[in-house]
Amino acid sequence: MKIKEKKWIRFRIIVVALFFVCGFGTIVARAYQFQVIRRDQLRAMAQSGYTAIVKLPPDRGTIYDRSGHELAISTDVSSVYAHPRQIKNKLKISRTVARVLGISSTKLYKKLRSNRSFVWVKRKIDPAKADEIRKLKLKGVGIEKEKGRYYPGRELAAQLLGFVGIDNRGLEGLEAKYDKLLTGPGNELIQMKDALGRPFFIRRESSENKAIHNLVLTIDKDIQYRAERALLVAVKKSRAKGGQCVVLDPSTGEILAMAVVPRFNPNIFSRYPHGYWRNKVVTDCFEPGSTIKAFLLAGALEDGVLYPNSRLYCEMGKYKIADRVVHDTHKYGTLTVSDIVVLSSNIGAIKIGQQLGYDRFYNYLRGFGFGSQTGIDLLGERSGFVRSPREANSVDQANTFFGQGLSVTALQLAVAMGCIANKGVLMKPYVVKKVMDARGHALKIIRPKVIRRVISAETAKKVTAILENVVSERGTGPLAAIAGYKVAGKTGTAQKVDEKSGRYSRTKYVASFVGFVPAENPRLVIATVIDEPKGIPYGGVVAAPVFREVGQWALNHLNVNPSVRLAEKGPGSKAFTRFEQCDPKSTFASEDQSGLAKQVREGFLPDFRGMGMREVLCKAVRLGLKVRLEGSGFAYKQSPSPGAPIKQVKYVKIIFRPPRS
Amino acid sequence: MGKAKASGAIYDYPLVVAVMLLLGFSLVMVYSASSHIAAYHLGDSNYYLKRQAAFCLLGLLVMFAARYIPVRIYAKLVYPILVLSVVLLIMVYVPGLGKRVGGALRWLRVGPLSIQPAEFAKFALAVYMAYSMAKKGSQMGSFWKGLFPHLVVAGMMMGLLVAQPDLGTAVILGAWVFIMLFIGGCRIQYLLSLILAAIPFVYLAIIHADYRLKRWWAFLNPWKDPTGVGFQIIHSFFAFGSGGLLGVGIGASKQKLFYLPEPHTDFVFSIVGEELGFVGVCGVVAAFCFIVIRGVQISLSAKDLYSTYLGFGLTTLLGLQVLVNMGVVLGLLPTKGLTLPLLSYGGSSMVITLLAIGVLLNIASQATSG
Repeated sequence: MKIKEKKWIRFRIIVVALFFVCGFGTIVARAYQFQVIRRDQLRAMAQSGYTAIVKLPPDRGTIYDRSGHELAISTDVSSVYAHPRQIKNKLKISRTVARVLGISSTKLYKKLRSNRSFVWVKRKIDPAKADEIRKLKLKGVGIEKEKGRYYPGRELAAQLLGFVGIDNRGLEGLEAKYDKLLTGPGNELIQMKDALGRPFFIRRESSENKAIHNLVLTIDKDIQYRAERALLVAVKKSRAKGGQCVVLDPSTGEILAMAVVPRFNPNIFSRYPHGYWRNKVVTDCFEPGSTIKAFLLAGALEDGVLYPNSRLYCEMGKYKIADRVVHDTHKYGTLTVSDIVVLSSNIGAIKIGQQLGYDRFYNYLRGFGFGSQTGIDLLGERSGFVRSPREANSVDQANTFFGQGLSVTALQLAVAMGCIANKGVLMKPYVVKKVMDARGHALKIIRPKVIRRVISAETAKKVTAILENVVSERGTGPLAAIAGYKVAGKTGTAQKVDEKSGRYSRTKYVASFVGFVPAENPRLVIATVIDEPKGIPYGGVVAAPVFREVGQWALNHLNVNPSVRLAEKGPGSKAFTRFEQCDPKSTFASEDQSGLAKQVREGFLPDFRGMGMREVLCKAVRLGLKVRLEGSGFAYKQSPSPGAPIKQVKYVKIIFRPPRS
Repeated sequence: MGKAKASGAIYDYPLVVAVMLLLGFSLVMVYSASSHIAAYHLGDSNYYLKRQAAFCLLGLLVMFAARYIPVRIYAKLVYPILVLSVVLLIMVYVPGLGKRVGGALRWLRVGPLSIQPAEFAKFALAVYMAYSMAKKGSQMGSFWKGLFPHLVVAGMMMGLLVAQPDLGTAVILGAWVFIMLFIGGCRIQYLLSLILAAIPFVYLAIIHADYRLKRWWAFLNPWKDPTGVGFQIIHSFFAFGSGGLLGVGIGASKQKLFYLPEPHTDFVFSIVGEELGFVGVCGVVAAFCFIVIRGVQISLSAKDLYSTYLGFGLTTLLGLQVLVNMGVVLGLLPTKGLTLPLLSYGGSSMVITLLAIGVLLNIASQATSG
């Protein structure tokens, strides 16, 4: 037997076995120490130890924009606490601490006089203040780290992101919508006493085993910033109450930007009125006005009741429906369907609607998503309101054809326009692109979702061609044009209902523009809504420039190649080099335009007489002139007179009067 | 150690009885420790009990089967076994197969079950060491023939374990290889230099991971820990202290009520201490001590050197895990996240441990009276 020959193996095995026996002996000795010798001490600590359990706010996942920029992050902040029972001179300590922290010393004194073992003095304070308190080395006052929320972009996308309360739970926006996912493991401070009765804390994760998740949004931080900037400028310029702007990718439904003005800073949200917190893009409805004509057109063409060249009589600006009379701003005789949309004739829209029939129009509106939620992953989305055929009398129907008497959200407008841009397929909009775990692995990737096909690709193409003309010299929205790209869109100017009288107000309007670019292969849909602009209320004047600003910048940012080559520029385009800044439409320059430009280039004021108000405005803005408008109808007087040296002109006063009947 | 009493018997009854007692006790303690947590998180207070009972049954089947499998077969299959264990260790990195728990890739998903390849790797290494050391025989004293191949194989496995990361199991394997080389006749000076060489690696592995450093800190000074990472260990102390001499009674532990994390796995021994007191602790320690001594006896009376090494290797592997787990919960060793064999909840560990016992039973049945 080998073992006999190699006794030393036996010896070594026994040495190891003895080592194991010693190990077990040590275990028993240690257990004896805890369970017999120190039993009373440990038992007392275990039983009386928990003098308090303080819940700390849970850690929270980061929210990123689509390219990984942080929009909302979790940070360590310091909070001051006190053990009132430990503090002897409560008055003195409350005075000292209150002075450093800038809080009321009487309130603090009241807190310290309570017989509680733990109170928060002030939460989430500056690091400098925390250092100061720490240096004071006050007995019974301490600093604990907890998790705070910080929005590095301040106002950026504030209404979309929302904010959290002091307990780190989401209160508004995405923070509230995705609260469960974002919330990570909570921490607790367990206050215990050591052998000498001094309190100390044990920090632990609370038993709920929650994993932290990070969100990646579809939002592009830079486009969002541009949208907010452009909107701020537009709102300020028109002295409006506020405004909204949505940018989305029509092929996927991804929201690239969602701006609401006025803005607020979620880091200090409580200092702003509650109304500022709402993401009005989804929570607020308005009457869309003429923008709805784009969808009326789509319905009529899809149904085949009319063609772009079908001619309809526009009643020379006055049309009686039941006991009401509908007016157009310009008197039109017979117009093509295409021109009705391009010139935005209300009477023409009614005529189109009558051909299509309200029932079918209603079905198309519902098809485009009006009157129901888009299903975007945001809280508080409103569905808007479209009168059903049963409820709508002939006046209601006529109003609906040109966009009054129904309500929509800015998002619905953008999504519906996105459907036309996306060759007739309606996409579900969304803002969260990815859910990631703490290590950056994607747990869930949200894919684009088709809702339904609303119109055929062919119809969408026809509608797009007509909407391109809206953004031309002849149309209502030339200010939305972007040099080098084909833009399609529709303006809207709707009267608001006066809350007191219940009637349409003559002073309160909602101006809107919704469109997409490049028209032949759309990358961006931008919907802009300006609420109650003062002065000129037209969507083409107030809202369209936001489209241009944001669109121009975003196309460049996304490296979208211009589709209109410089060589295709119209005749006389050279004349426009001076006005490039105020005239992005140079590529579509018409003869008339170059005539005007020639006058200005030669330094003389053009003749505005005989033009409509909208025409005057568009041309004046293009030529960089300030105008003051009086009256209504057509221009018949201007001051200074045409031909005056333009350098000396500060502004042009133009007086309008209604045409003689 | 006197004569091997086990020679020729059908079963080594003392060993079987000790193991069965521990298994029965395991069911009681796992249920007691886990019922609250299971009811709270899973809505079924019997969840862990049912699964543990199934693991026990499966383990016992494996054990009785192994009793009748000649140990030579493992030696013949040593390289396939070794390769399989390494493949399993690597498979945790295959997406869809590996299961990440608490930041570590230690589990393989197989249908509804999760298995821990590390458990099988331990067994495979024990077979390899026994086979190889017995083959080398008197050449064990040489560096290139006796020490080097074992270091390469063991080092590779430990490397895979550290990568998971599972430093605890890697360190235990290291200590175990050290013991095996010692009894195999490796020169003492080699072994001492091995220890010196291992220190920088362990040090690096510790300071490279934040949580390991925290565990060290908690181990060194759980009471004055400013950030509170000593929480687990303090509550383990409280459990033992509250238990006192006779314990608070089965089912009456307070520390398992969400104060002690994982009371049914890593900290089941603390719950034993709290519910059954010092007496219960001594009983469990005695049972494990008996199993180890019995295993050593069986190894000493084995019919050949290979069986001796295999039996002794499996025994010490079990004993080391028991000692380390108990040392951790009693604050003698830094927290490692290792379970207590036979007592803690867990399927892979249960099945492999009972496989090891089955192998011991087979060796015992083949023993020649010494």
